[in-house]
Amino acid sequence: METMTNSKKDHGVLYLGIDLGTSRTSVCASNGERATLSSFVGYAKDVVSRKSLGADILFGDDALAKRMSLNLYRPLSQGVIQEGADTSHGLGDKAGNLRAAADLIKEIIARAKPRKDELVYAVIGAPAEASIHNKEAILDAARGTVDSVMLCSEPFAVAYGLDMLDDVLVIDIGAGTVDLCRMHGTMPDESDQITLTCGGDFVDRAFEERLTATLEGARFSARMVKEAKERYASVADDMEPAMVTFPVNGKPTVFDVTEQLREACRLIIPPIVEGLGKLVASFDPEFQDRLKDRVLLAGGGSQIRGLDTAIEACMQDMLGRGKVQRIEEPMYGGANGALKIAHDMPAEYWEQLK
Amino acid sequence: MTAEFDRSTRFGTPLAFLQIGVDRLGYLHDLYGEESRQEILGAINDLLRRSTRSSDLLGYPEGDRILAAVPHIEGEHANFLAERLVSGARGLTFEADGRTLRITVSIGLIHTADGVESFDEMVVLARESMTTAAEKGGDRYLRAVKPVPETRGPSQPAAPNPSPSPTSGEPQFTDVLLAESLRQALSGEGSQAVLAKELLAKIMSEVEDRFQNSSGTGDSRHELLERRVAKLGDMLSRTEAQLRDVLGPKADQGISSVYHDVQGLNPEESNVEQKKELLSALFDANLRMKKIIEEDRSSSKS
Repeated sequence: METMTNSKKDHGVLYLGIDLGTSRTSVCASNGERATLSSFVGYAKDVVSRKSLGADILFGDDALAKRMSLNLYRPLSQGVIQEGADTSHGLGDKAGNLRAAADLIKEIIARAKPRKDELVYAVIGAPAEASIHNKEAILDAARGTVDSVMLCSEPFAVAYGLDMLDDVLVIDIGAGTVDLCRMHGTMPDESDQITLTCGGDFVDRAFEERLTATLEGARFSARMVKEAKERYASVADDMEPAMVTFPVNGKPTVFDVTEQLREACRLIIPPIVEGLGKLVASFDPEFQDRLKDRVLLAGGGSQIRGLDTAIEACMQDMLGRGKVQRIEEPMYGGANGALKIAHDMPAEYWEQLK
Repeated sequence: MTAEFDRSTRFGTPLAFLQIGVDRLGYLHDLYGEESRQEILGAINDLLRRSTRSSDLLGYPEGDRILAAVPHIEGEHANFLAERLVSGARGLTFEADGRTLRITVSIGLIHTADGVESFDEMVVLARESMTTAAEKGGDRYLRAVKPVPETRGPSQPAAPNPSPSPTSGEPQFTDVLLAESLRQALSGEGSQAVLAKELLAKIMSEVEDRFQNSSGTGDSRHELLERRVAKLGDMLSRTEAQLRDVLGPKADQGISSVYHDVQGLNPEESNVEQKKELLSALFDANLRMKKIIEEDRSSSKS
């Protein structure tokens, strides 16, 4: 990337929309490229592992698969760059997480295949509740690779991407957090946003607890639990049976975990609807019903089957009415919106932020 | 130069011939490149011209050596000239790769008074003297002596006028004592035990000196080789990179943005004013954040 920043940039501008998430990081670029990868960064532990891996750094699922040979980082646990130890995935020191975040951003930008002779302007969707230090760290990480960068809240990016800027409630379910945001034609401020910690990781933990309590003798890791959830996650009464294979005393054994998974997934509905209720209650009474009928469901967690109708049903019970619309591309909803913002932003604004 | 030698022979005028080589020039070339080599040879040439009457000097470079014929110079003055060149070279400094380099030279000298019969013979004897001077550690001159015919051996340069060096000079005090002890022992006046003791001390002293000298040379040679390897490694990396650029598969140049010529809001959109306000608000928020971060950093620095 050094050569990229040093070369003459007279070809034009590449706009990037980046969704920097706890679980996945995605990019959509104005050259038509798009890419997504798990937000894991692994550094070779020693010379031997470097030789066997053939690389100093691995990203995403590659890093997770070879984690025994790596110092593994998940730099954006709970949506922000972690400053303490990440006990669930080994190393997690502050400097290491910052470096991993920088390398992750550099990698996702590289996957958008920028030309060496064009300027790169990026909008990064950051968690609504990220602190100023966290935003500073994200900006620092990005500035090494792009020419100009802006941050925006993830729910705002989703709404902007769908051109739904008036009287909309956005539910962005990430791995670390669930961001609720009220859009009413202006930039959402703090009173328009609520961040909950019942994201995908919360569901994983709840699912694992239930499995531990009910599957006697079965051995499984957090990763196996997550894989089962991603394959079968549903809140529907008539969900597809979730049959998983876990070893018992070394022997692969098939378990029906449908009920445990449904229970875990349903846990996130009440807090979400409760949060929506708060945002609705503090809105202009004249437009509250319109707000309830314009709820956008986005983020990786929106892929839980039946979640939209389950939230609608819960809204009916708690708020009297509700209409939830799931966005078409949960993986790229935030990145698409960020790209649209990047493209629409006047050129002089980009110049001033260089 | 041949004509000058013939003229000298015909008219009986004296002529000195010098071959000047820069010590370890090959290493310096490998370490610092051709430019440094040329600079060093140029500086020696200048030194030669400054040290002689320029109208009399005939000199030209040949490979890594400089050949010089100095007419109308007596044998003793030729020695002084060679000595001036050796000490003058010691004072030269060069800059390369951020380092200050110092050099020394080895000079083979021959004079018509030494009995040479042809210019070719003069050249051969001067070259052999220069080589011998370099093999003795350099930083000196050797005046060649035409071999005595009876020996029939290959012409051997003698060293009647080596440049003063730390290893040559008057016999050391221990040598005098040792010689006196030896004389007394042989004449039966002294004790053989005393002689053996003094001999042993002398041998030990010589061994220590040699060990120290050899280890010092080894260290510097080792360091030189390491630097040379590092330099060659860098050159190899650069060459490999150039080869990759030239021969390797074309690197991915990236994909052009489809928005190359189209940027900004579409004015025909229905909510364009609202979007302008939103984007402006987003920009303001980012600008504010940038200022806060910069102020925070400047205050933490101060």
